[in-house]
Amino acid sequence: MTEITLRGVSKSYDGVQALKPVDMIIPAGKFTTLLGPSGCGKTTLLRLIAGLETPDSGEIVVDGQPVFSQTRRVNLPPHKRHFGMVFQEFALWPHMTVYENVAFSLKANGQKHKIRERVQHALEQVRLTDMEKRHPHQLSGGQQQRVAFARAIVMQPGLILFDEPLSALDAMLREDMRDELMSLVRELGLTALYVTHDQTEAMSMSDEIMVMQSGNVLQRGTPEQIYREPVHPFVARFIGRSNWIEPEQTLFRPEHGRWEAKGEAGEHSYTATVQRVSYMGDRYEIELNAGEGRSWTAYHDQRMIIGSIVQLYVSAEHLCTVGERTSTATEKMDANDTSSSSVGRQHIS
Amino acid sequence: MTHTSGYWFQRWSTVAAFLLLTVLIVLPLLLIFRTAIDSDGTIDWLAPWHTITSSSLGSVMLNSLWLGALVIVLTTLLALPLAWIMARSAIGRWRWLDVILLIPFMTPPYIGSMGWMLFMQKNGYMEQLLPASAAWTPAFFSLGGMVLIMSLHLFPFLYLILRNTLLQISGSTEEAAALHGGSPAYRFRRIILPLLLSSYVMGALLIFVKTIAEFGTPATFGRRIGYYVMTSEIHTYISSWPIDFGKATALASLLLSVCLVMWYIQSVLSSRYSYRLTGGKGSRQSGYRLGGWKGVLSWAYVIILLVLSIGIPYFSVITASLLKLRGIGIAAGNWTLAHYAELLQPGSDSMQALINSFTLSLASSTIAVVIGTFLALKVDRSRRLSQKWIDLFSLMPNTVPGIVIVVGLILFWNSSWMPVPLYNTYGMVVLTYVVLFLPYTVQYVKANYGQIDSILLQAGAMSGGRPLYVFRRILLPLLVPGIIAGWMMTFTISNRELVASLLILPPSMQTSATYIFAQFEQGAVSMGMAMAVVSVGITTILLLILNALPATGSKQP
Repeated sequence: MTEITLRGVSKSYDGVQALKPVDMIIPAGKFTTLLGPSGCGKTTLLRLIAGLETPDSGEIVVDGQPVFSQTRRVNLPPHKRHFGMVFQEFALWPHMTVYENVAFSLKANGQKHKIRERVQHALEQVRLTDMEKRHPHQLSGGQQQRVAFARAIVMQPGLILFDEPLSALDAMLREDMRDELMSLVRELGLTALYVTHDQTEAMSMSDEIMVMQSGNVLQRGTPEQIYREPVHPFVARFIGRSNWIEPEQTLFRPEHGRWEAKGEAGEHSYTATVQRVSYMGDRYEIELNAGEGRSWTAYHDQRMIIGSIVQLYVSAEHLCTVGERTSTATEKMDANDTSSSSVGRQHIS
Repeated sequence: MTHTSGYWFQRWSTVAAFLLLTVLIVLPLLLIFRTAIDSDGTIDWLAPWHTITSSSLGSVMLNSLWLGALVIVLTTLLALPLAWIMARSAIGRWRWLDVILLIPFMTPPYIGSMGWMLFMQKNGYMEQLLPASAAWTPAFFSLGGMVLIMSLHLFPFLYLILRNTLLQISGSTEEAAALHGGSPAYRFRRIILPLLLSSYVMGALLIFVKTIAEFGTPATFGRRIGYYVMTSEIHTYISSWPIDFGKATALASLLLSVCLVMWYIQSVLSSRYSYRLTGGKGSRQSGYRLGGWKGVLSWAYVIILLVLSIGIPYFSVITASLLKLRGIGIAAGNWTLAHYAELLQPGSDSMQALINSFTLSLASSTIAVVIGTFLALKVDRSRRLSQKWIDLFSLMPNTVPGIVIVVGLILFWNSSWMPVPLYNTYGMVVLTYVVLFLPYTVQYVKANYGQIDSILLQAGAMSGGRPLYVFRRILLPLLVPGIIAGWMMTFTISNRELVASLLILPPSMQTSATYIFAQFEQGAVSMGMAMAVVSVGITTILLLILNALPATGSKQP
C-alpha cells in the first residue's frame, strides 16, 4: 500500500493552466476518484503522478520518497516509479500475446524468477486463465480490459492508476466490469487512483471523490458528502440533478420533492406548473415550472396533466445550502476559499 | 534531474539528424546554386540567367514546360473517364484492375519508351503486323508521340487521385443533393466538380513536376526525335565532351526552382482547398448503372487503355528479347531463348551487371531503411519546428528531380576540398541510391508510426520498461510493416534506376539499367530487352511475394 502526497503541483500547457497548484494526500489502501468534465485537469493530474508528464512546480512524494521535486531536482521517469496503470482504450500491445503482454513488466524489470507462475496468477485473478496464447485483437472488449488490469497488477504495485478504463466499453459491460474492478482492487488491498467523467462510476466505486473543474479541485469527500453537501454550485450541478430554490445557493434533489404535505415543522411548499412528463418505466419524471425562471424535476408514480398547477413539498432537512458545512463535516476546506485563496494553492487533505 | 539522459539523447539525435541531412541532401543542392552563380571565381547572381539566355538553353526550358503542359492535358483525357468508370460503374468492382493499372506507373519509363520505339519504328512490329500502317507510323516520332508515351506512363497517378476523390464524393453527399432537389447536371456542376477540382489541380501539378523531372523518355525517345528538355540536356553537359558544369548547374538550378515553386503551390492549395470527405472505400456507391451500350463502351475504353499502356510496350520488349533475327521479324521459326541464355551466362558482362544491380540495391535499401527509420522517428508527429525541417529535408529527394540531386552529389563528393575519397567508387553509387530513395522509407515508416498510439509506449514505460527496452520490444516490432514496405520499394526502384547509374557508376561498372540503355543505343536490342524482361520480372515477382507475405505485427486492436 502506497500513500501519495502532492505539494504545490501544477501544470500549464502553452500558457493555459491545466492544473492549478494543488496539495493533496491520496491515502494508502483507499479507492480515490478524480471526477470532472473533460478538460478539468483530472487526466493531467494522473499523468503527472505517473511520470508521463512533468509538473511545472511542486513535489510528488511516494511513501516519504520524492519521485518529483522541483526544488531538489528530482524527476523519476515513469519506469522507475513502479506504479501500475490501466489506460483508456486498454493500450494492449497488438504484436504480443496475452501472456507476453502481462509478462512484459516482469521481463522489463529483469525479474526472471517465476515469471510463468506470476503471470498465471495475475491472469487467474482476472479470470482469464485459458487465453494466454491469444492476441489482443482476438479478445472481446471486456477480456482486453481484464488483460490490461492483469498487466497492471502483475508487479504487485503499491499504487494503481486508472485513466477512464471503462469508457471504451459498451454500457452493459461497463456495469459488470465496474463491480469486478472494484472488488479486485479491494481484494488486493491496492491504493487506487481512478479518473473518470462518469458520476455513476465515481459514486459507486470510490471511497473518496475529488471533483475537479478547470484545473481546480472543488471538493473532496465520500460519495455521500459530495451528493448531500456540495460545497460549490458546480459540484451540485455535476453530480445528480439539482432543483435550485435560490440560484447557486439553495437546492433540493428531485427525489425529495413530495406531492403531499407531511405537516412537519419547517416544511417548504411551492406552487408549480407541470411543463413536461417523461415516462421512464419505473417512474414519471415531471418537469415543473416553479416561477422566477426556476425549472425543477420531480418524480411521480402516475402521469400528470401538462399545464396543471401542483403543490410540491420539501422537508427542511432536505434543503441544502451550497458551501454551508454541516456539523459532522470532516473536511477543513471550503470551496470559496479554494478559488480566492491568497496563496493561490489548493489545500485538500 | 534523472530524466536528463533521455533529454540529452533527444538533443544529440536531433543534431545527428540535421548533420546527416545537411551532408546528404542540403549541401549538395546548395552547391548547385553556388556553382551556377560562380563565374570564373567571382559571384555573379545573374550568371545562370546569362548562361541560359546566351545559349539555346532558353528553348530547352520552354521545351520542358510545353511538354509538361501537354502531358497534363493528355493524362487528364486518359484518367478522368477511367476514374469515372471505375468509381461509378460495376467495372470498379474488379479490384485486380487497380493492381493492373499500376503497372504502367511502375514500369521504368526508359523501358516503356524503348518498347514504343520498337513498335512504331520503320519495319517495327506495327508495320509487321499491319503493313498499311507504314503510311502513318513515322508521324509517331514527334512531340505528339513523346506526350503519348509519357502520359501513358503517368496517367495511373492522376487516375488514382481522381477515383479516390470520386469514391468519397459519391454516396451520401450526392444523395443529399438529390433529396434537396438537384438534377443530375446540377449536382455534377455544384457538388462533384468543386469537390473534384482541388484534387485534380493537385494531381495535375504533380504530373507537371514529374514530367519535367523525368529523364528516361527524353533520354531515349526525346533524343531520337531531337526534342531536348532540361533533364536530358543536364545529362549531356556533364557526361559528354565538352563537359560544362556551368550550363549543367544553371539548368539544374532552374529545374530545381520550377519544381520547388510547383510543390509550394501544391502544398498551399492542398492545405487551403482540400475538403475532408467522409467515408472512402466504405462509403456506398451511388447507383449509376452503366448497362447496355454504355457498359460495352466502358469496358472497351478500359481495355484499349490497358493495351496502349501495358500491352504494346511489354509486347515489344518481350518480342524483341525472343526474336532470333531482327531482320526477319515476327515470323514462325524466328523465336529463341538464346538471348536469355547468353544474358545469364555466368561471368558475362550482362550477368555481372545484373549482380551489380542486385547487390547495389541490397546495400542501398538496407542503409536507406536504417537512416529513413531514424529520420521518420525524429519527425514523429511533426509538431516542433525542428521536426518539420527534418521532415522537409528528408522528403526533398522526392520533390527535387533525380538528376538534380545526382548533379549536386557529384559536385559535392567530387569537389577538390572533399577529404572523403568516395567519388568513383561503389560506395558513391550506394550513397546516391540511398539519398534518392530515402523518402520512401521515411514516408512509409512515418505513416506506420502515426498509426501507433503513443499510449502503447506509455504503457511500456508504466510497466517498468526503460526507453531502449520499450523501443526494442514495442515500437520496433510495430514498425516492421512500414520498414518492410520502405525496404521493398527502395530495392525495387534502385534496381531499375537509370539516371544515377548513368552518371555515377565508376568506369567499367554496369548495372542492368545502364546495360539496357547501352545495348539499345548500340543496336543490340535483343540483349537489352532480354535484360529488361529479367530485371522488371525479378523485381515485380519480388514485390508480389513480399506483398503476399502476412504482415506480422500489423494487427491493431
